[in-house]
Amino acid sequence: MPSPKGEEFLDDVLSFIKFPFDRATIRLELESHLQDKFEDYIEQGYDEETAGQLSISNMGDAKVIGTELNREHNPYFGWLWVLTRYAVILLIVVNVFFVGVSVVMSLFRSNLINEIPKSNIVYNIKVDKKVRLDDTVIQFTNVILEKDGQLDIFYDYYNTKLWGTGWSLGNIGTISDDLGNVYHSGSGSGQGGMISHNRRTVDHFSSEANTLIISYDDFNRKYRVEIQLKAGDRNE
Amino acid sequence: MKIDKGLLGGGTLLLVLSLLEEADRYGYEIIKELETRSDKTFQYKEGTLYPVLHKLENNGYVTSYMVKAESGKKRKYYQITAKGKKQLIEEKEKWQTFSVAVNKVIGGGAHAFA
Amino acid sequence: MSRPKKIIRNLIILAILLLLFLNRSGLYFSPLSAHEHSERSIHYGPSNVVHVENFDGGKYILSKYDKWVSCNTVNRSLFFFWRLGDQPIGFENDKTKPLDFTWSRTYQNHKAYGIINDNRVKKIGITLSDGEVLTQTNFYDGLFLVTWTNNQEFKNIKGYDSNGQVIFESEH
Repeated sequence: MPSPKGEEFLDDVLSFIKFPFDRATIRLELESHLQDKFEDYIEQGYDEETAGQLSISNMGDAKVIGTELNREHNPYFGWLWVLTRYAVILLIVVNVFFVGVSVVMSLFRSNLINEIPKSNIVYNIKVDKKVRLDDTVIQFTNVILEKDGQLDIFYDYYNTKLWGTGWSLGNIGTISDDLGNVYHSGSGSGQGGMISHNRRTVDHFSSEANTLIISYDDFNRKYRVEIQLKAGDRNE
Repeated sequence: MKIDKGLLGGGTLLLVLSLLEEADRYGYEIIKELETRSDKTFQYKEGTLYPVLHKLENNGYVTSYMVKAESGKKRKYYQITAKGKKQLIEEKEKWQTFSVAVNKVIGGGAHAFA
Repeated sequence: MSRPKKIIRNLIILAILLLLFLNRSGLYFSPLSAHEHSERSIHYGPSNVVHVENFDGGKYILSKYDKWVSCNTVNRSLFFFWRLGDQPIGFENDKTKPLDFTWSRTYQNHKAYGIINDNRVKKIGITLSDGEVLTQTNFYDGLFLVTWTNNQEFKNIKGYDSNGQVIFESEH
């Protein structure tokens, strides 16, 4: 709380500081110095008015101090710094919002396989078959036959290329069995995310079939996956 | 004898860094210390210390931090960095060379060391 | 750290964050880049682009892949960037027909595109539901693309020879 003359002095110095964001801290530092000097003079026995005047004149020339300080607070660098700082904060917020949300969501997904009541399961076969379509890796994990003839094929897929999002995987191929049945009806569902968990369901699957065949043949991409049904792990 | 060296002249780097090497200090402290130790030989227009300190900080020779005293007063303390310590050694050497040379010139061969 | 150093550090962080954002939000730097990613992620192509045409807010990318013909779209996003549009997958060319084609629309943007199989076809004409006929004689490497933005529907397509005779007509 310097005197009015002190305030005037500080205003004078600050008038030479071109970058506005630094003015407050500079003012505080000089003000603190003035205050310390003032208290020193009081201790030495001077009266308040003289102490005040002396501490100001002891500081030196406001213009000299101001212009020299301004050299160390380049306004161009100052503004660039402020701009880039706010841009970084903005992008961090944006990224946390878009990227973070999807990462967090993929941590809280429910297990698709557990959605099937155990009492419905005729067999649950653990599968370890991997295929690749362009940059997408598809991993078949389980095949479950339910008592009502519904067959559930569980598979995960992920993208090996980091850039971009693109289309999610739709059709995994034609579903058939070793007896020659081709299954057209059914449905699919998935959960998206970095590793997408999916389920393809087929109705009225034959309980006599020994092998499940998933064959893909589109636009010069091909794969064929055969899954043994009776000789695998059973889980009733 | 009072030498009115503007703080913006030469030699300040050596003096200020030297004081900060001993301890972290705030601006007013540095001024007082300079006055006391030099028996009032070095008395400055005090405001001119701050551009020097800010320049030292921009060059990476010192860093600063705020401290709140019990009186509630907030003070900006300066601390010498590793880069500053290196520079201080260099400045001391420069000063040594300079003062030896001066002594040689004014005192002839008898005054080889300060 | 001095301010210039802080600025450089901020710019580097900014560049990384920006790339991360663009990557995750499906934004691409060029229309063709979006198109190529579109095709590859849906496991089609890579096709050979024969013609690119603007529409309001995006581009049509007419191309040929093996025995398929497609007209993919990409959309402009955030002034500078591009995003996947729709229909990257092509139809299979029936070579027994003098020309094979398909048509579709997204909102007001209608497109009819196809391929000329018989060299005698020198011009195609597409009739819309209001009677308007849109024609094309300059084919793009044997492919054609006709677009319109009013509410008219596709009615039929005719293929003409150099004498103006109709040698092919279809309404599907």
